[in-house]
Formats: sequence, C-alpha cells, structure tokens
Amino acid sequence: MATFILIAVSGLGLGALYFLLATGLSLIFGLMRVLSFAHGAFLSVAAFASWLVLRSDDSPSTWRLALALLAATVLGGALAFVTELAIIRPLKGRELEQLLATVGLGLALVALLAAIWGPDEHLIPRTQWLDSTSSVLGAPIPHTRFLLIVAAALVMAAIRLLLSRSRYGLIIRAGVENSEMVSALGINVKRSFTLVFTVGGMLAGLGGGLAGSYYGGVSPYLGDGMLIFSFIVLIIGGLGSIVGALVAAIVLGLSQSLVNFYVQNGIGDIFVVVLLVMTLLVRPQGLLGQKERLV
Amino acid sequence: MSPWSAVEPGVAAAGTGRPLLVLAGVHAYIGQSHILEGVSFALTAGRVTTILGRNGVGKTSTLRSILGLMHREGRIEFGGRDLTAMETHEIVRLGISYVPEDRDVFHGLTIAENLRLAERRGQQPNYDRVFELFPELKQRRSQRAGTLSGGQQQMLSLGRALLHDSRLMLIDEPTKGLAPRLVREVVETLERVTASASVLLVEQNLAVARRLSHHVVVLAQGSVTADGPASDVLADEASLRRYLGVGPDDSRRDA
Amino acid sequence: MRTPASVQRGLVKRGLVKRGLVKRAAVLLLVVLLALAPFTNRNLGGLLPGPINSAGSLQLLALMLVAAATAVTLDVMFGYTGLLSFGHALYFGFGCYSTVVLSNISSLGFAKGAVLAILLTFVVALAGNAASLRLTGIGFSMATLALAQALAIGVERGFLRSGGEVGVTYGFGVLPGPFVGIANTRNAYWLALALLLAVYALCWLAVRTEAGHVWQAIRENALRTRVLGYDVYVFQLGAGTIACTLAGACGAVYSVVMGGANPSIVVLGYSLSLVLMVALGGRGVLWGAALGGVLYTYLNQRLTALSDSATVTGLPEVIRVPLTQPNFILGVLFILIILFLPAGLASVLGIRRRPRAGRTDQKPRGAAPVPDDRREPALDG
Repeated sequence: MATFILIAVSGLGLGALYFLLATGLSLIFGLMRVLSFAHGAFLSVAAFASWLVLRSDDSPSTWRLALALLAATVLGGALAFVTELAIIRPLKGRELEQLLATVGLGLALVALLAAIWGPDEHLIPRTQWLDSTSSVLGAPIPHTRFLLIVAAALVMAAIRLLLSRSRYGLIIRAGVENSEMVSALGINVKRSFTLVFTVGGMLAGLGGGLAGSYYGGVSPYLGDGMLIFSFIVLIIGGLGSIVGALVAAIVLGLSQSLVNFYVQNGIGDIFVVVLLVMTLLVRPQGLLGQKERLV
Repeated sequence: MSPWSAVEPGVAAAGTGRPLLVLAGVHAYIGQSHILEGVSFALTAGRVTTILGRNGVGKTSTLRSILGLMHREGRIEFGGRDLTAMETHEIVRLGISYVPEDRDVFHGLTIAENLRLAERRGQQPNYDRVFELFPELKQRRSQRAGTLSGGQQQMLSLGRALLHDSRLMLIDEPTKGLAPRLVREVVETLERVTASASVLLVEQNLAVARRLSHHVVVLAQGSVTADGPASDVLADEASLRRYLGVGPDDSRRDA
Repeated sequence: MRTPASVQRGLVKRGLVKRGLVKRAAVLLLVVLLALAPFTNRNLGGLLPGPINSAGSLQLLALMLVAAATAVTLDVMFGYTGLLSFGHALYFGFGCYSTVVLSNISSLGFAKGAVLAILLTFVVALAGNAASLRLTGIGFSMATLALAQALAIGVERGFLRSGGEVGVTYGFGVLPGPFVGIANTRNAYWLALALLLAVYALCWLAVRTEAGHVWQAIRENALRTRVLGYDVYVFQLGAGTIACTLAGACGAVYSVVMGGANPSIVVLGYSLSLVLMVALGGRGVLWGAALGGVLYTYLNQRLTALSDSATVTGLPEVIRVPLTQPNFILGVLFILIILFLPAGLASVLGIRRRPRAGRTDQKPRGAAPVPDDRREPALDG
C-alpha cells in the first residue's frame, strides 16, 4: 500500500510538470492556432538557469531555490516574448510556417545549450527540505513531489483567476473560440497573442526550474522529452481547455508511473501513447475540447 | 446609378447625400476562388442599403472585405479613409459594427461577458438601449451564450452591435434560420434601430429587404448588376428573377 | 470547369516546351557525374573527409543520397498532398530495423529478410496511415507523432532484439559480400544512388498521374475536392501508403550503407529533420526536397568536422562554440529560410511549384476565374 501511494504521488508530481507545460501550449494553440515546438527548449534553457543559480552551493537555502525558480520563470517568459515578436508575429496568419519556425528555434536553442555546457547531465543540488521526505499514509513521499503538486495547483488557480476576472482573460477565452470575431469587435488580438505566448513561456520556465530540482539534474534534452508528453496531454485533454489539460495530466502521470512500476519499465510510456491513439480514434476533440477545433 | 466616382476625403456627414462608404473595383479571393470581380458601389449615410444576390455570389464576402477579414484589392473608403491599409480592429474602431451571418457569439461566455467584450474604450456603453430593445438579454445576463436559442443569440449579436453608436452597421442575414415569429420581431427591432443609422444589410429574404431598404445593390457574377432606390430595383421583376432566381414575392430563402 | 488535371497538364506542357531539353540533359549529366564519383580521385579541400572516392567521402555521399530519397517520399505526402507528418521516421526506421533484424534470422538471410521487411513496412504504412487519416489537420499530425513515439520507445527499450541504445548490426556473413568492408563502400554508394533514382522516378511519375493531381487538389482545398466527387480519404491513404513504404525502402538501403540500424533514426528529432529537409528545399517540388535532404545531411555531418578545423579554432569563443553543434546552425538557417524564403531554396532557383496551398485570405497567382454558372455552393453568403 505504501508503495502504491508513493508511486501514485510520483505520478501526480509528473503530471503536475506536464500540466505546466501543457497549459501554456493549450492556450497558445487555442488562441493562436500555433503548435509551439520551441517551448520544450524554453524549458531546458530555464532549467539551466536554475542550475546556474543553485550549483554554487551544495546545500542551498530555500531562498536560493525561490530565486532559481524565479529566474527560470522570468527567463522562459523573456525568451517566449522575444520569439513571439521576432518570429511568430511576422508570420501572422501562416500557422504552418509558424510551427516550422518553432521547430527550428527549438533545435537551435537545444544545440546552443549542448554547445556551451555539453550534452550530458549536470547535477542540481537540492535544498534540505527538498531532499527529505514526509510520511503520507505510511509512504515516505519526497518533498519534491509536494513542491510540484502545490506549484501546479497554484498555477491552475492563478490562470483561472486571470481568465475569469481580467479583461485579457475575457479576450483570451473569446479568442480561443473565434479570434476573428474578437478583432471584429475592435480588439487588437495581437497583444493577446503576445501575452499568451509569453505566459506559456513563463509556465515552461517554471516547469524547467521545477523539473531540475525534481530530477536533480538538467540536460539540454530535458524539455524535448517533456514536450512530447505535454503534446499528448494537450490532445487527450482537448486543445484550448485548461481543465482538460489538468485532468489529462493527472490521468497520464498516474497511469504512466503505475504501469511503468507494476507492469514493466517502459510499458507505461507505450501505454500513454496507446491512450493517445485511442483518444484520437474515439474522441478526437479530447476530453473537454470543442469539436470544431481538431477535426 | 448613384454617384460614387468622386469622393472627397474627410466627408462623412450623415444624411447629406455624400457617400459614407465607397467600394471601387474591389476584388476578393478565397484561396483559388475569385469571389468578387470588381465590385463598385457607394453607400450614403443615414439610410439602409441592402445587398441582394444568389447564394454564394459574394454578399458576405463584400462585408468581410470591408472589414479586412479576407484578402482583397481595390479601393474601399470609409469617410474618406482608406480601409485597405488598415487592420480589422482599426477599421472597426473607426465606428463600424458588425453583425455576422452566423451570429458568432462566444458560447463559453455569458451574455454579460459577450456584451462587455464589445465595449469600446473611451466610449460610454449604452446598456439601457440594448436592454430596452432586448429585455430577455437583461434577464438572462448570466446565462452562457452557448445555451441560448438561435433567436436569442441573434438578439445578443444585434445587441452587442448596438452597445455603442456606430457610424455604419454591417448586418449579415439577421433573419437567417429564424422562425417566422422571430423574423417579425427582428425586423421590427431593425426598423427602430435603422431609423437614423447607416446600415449595409445583406438579406436573402426579399420581404424583409423590401421592408427595410432604402437602397438596393444586386450582386451577380461577382459584380454589381443593379444599383438604385429600393422601390425601383425591387419593382423590376424580370431582373430580379434573372439575378436572384426568385420572384419578388418569395419570402422564403432562395435554395 | 478547369479540373486540376487540365490545369496541371497545361502548365506541364508549357514547361516542357520551354525548358525540357536543357533540363533533361542537365539531369542526365548530373546522374553520370554522380555515378562516376567512386572513380574520381579529386580532393575538394575540406568539403569532404577525403578525396571523392575515399571510403569516408563515399559513405557521406551515400547518406546524403539516402536522405534525399527519404525527403522526396515525405514531399509526396507533405508537399503534394498537404499531409504534415511528424512521424516519417517511423517508416524509415521500421524499414531499416526490420531489414536488419529479419536478415539476422539465420533461416531467412538478407535477400528474403529485405523483401519481407519491405512487405511488412507496406502493411505498417497502410495501417498507420489508415488510422492517422481518420483525423485532419493537426489531429493527423499528432497521430503520426504518437505512432512514431511508440516505435521510438520500443526501440529504445530493445524490444524484439532491436538492441536498445546501441542499435543492431548485421551479423557476420549476413550482408552480401559486395556490401561488406571498407573497400566496397562504392557499392553501397551506387546502391544509394540507384535508390534515389528509383524513388525519384516513381514519385515523379506518381504526382503526374490523375491521382497525383487529385493529391494536389486535396492540398489546395480538401473540401472542394470532396465536393467534386473524389474520395479524399482514399486518395490520402494512397499517398501516405506509397510515401511511407518507399521511406521504408530508404531505411533498408540506409542499413546497408551503415551496416546496421541505430535509434537515432526513429526519434521525433529525425522526423522533424525530415520535415525541415522538405521545407528547406522547397515543398511541392520533388528535386527541392532532394536538395534539402542533401544539404541538411551534409551540413549535419560536416559542420562538426568544420568546427574542429584549424581555421575555426582560431575564432573567438562566441562564434566557435555554437559551431560545434550543427543543429544550431541548421536551426538558425531554418528560421531564416522560413522568415525570408518560405517556399524554400527551390524558389531561389527560379522554379516555383504549382499554386500555393490556399488560406482564406491568400491571393492566387494567375488563377483563372471560375465561371459563375459552375460555382459550387460556397462557404460564404
């Protein structure tokens, strides 16, 4: 039983990471119809930033950790902001080219990381708190899991608040349905595009900082691995739906961890892919997506 | 034919007879299809101009071209300003409101949110007018637009365009898909609303067009084939039959 | 109504009359030069690892040719039919791995193993595309990504004797004599050349058939093509199956050139680089895709060598360090191409493909107006 709890919580923690990345991608695709392959690279770069902040101290303080996470989030957002203005906006209306450009950017950024710091993993020291565990129903749960889950919950709440209370949130919610009509109401959607893309970058950045501490190490390829699973979360949850992304992330994180442990390591990953294929065949719009978006 | 060749910049007065909106040689494309092949007409302020034409001829494309929602070439001037150089939101901010063919209300948002989205900065929204015209909208303020009936969505779509005073309203088939009783309601509302407004209306329903229009433009084969006072154009049964495929008394939609 | 076929035929005829003879002579010359490469003892400076006919250079050239062929197959799907696949590596990799694994089974050997591998790839291509094409647009692309991931995971874990991270090589004596050993690199090279010629010819013919014109019509406007009476799904399935089976054949040749299979050819990164190759060279133009494949592979292989050379080590760190990773240059190059040359390199060389894929606000080039009495019910009022 204790093992089950441990594996399940680990799965939730993993799901939390996927959720962070997927939420940003979901908003970006929902509003801008762009599938960004660059956000995996943003995650990796941000993870490196957190490593740079944390590596000098073998047992960093919680403040240092907070600083690292902040740096990661800000850097992710900054990268996304510049990308949107320099690359995405000039390609306005050409979604395929935008997608391809993000592929190129992702490639270049990851290569740059590998060029500067090498392709291998670099260890990230953890704070004392992160390194320890607490007992939940008899299972020793590492605090890293809690950090991820709490972070994801906070982000979820913040985003829902942003979407439901602010004017930009209103514009985004409407734009996800019909961005053309939004501009026909006299609203400059370009600003919302930039905002959403940047927020996606910040989420990727936060995810990168958290992933670094969770895994205890970073490599240039960290983000790309997570990107694939985040795409799967996106599809299963439904493009443009935050709640869908949450549910899908939970389902995926749990099933991946549980199957990997109880059946065989690696089968869990394949199981996730099978879930995706089934979703595509049976309910292509995902759990909570709108039918018009995908098919 | 109405005068559209000479347009002086900066002229936008209502009711003076000078054109508020001018289209000259407008071509529009959807992918490979050449939808509008040289559409030219002028719209005078203070009255309702209706575009008539067969299904698929490009009536909606005309409206969308004005708004910059599709690729177009040619001259489009609104109050003397060149719209082809502007982006959609800039065009709308000049004082044009749009009631699209499929209503295009935002399903996930409540009625109140739909209306709030239509508010324009720097102008005071006139909720009183909207709720007076459509009391149901006030009652159902917190209801999601996706759960509304077709008629209610049409009211919302119209209401949102009436939140502010517009210099020009573009209205696309407001009675489409509505039951006869609702058609009557919408037409009555439109009569009140358009009493002193400048409106470019697209309608398939000839009876509605007859009742609301001061001026009629007929589109066929990608360009304007008739352009004149409603009484004249709608009386020419032979032309109507040729260009629209319907008789003037048909009140049902053209197949 | 001008059907896609008649429009295409008209354009082709004009092209033939104008450029036909010169173009054909040039192509023939190119093929002959390529065929003679293993006899050419020229040294091209640092461009190649050694003289043209050295084993290292020939293997590099062979890889470039295989990549070109694979890019051409993807172009049929993506450039001509408008099916953006993020999983082309699945079929390339499957063809490669199955050829090696099956040939290694002693009761089969290479000849039977290779044939069986291609047949299996055909089945997989048919099934994979049949499933993925149930969706359109992004859904289709995601489905291809998912299927490819399944294979990537399986290979990485070493299922079915695929060797895991190390890959799998041909067992001793499995590969036919002419392809074994450094001295015989030239034979692998000629095989690769033959592959490119065969694949190119097949695809060239395919896109000129009635089916090929339907593919392009589907790319332009699938809805309208369906309205014209064509079963879009069947035609897409045809394009996908042909393209992916040929990709499997390319994978099989790759295994001969490399002496085995390795996981780098089944990962998402490889699928993406295939897409980049096609977009780089010019999608919808077969030789553009081939050019993209050649260029990408060359840069990928040679840039690392370049960064080690004497000239570069002298450069300041800021320039030198990024050069150690070819993907950096490729990624940046790619972004620049997308921004400034969206039709790919082929457009620089003057040859533009048939009318571009339509967006709602895209202006067509030189398209004739559709006579109004034949206008099918449009999507607008």
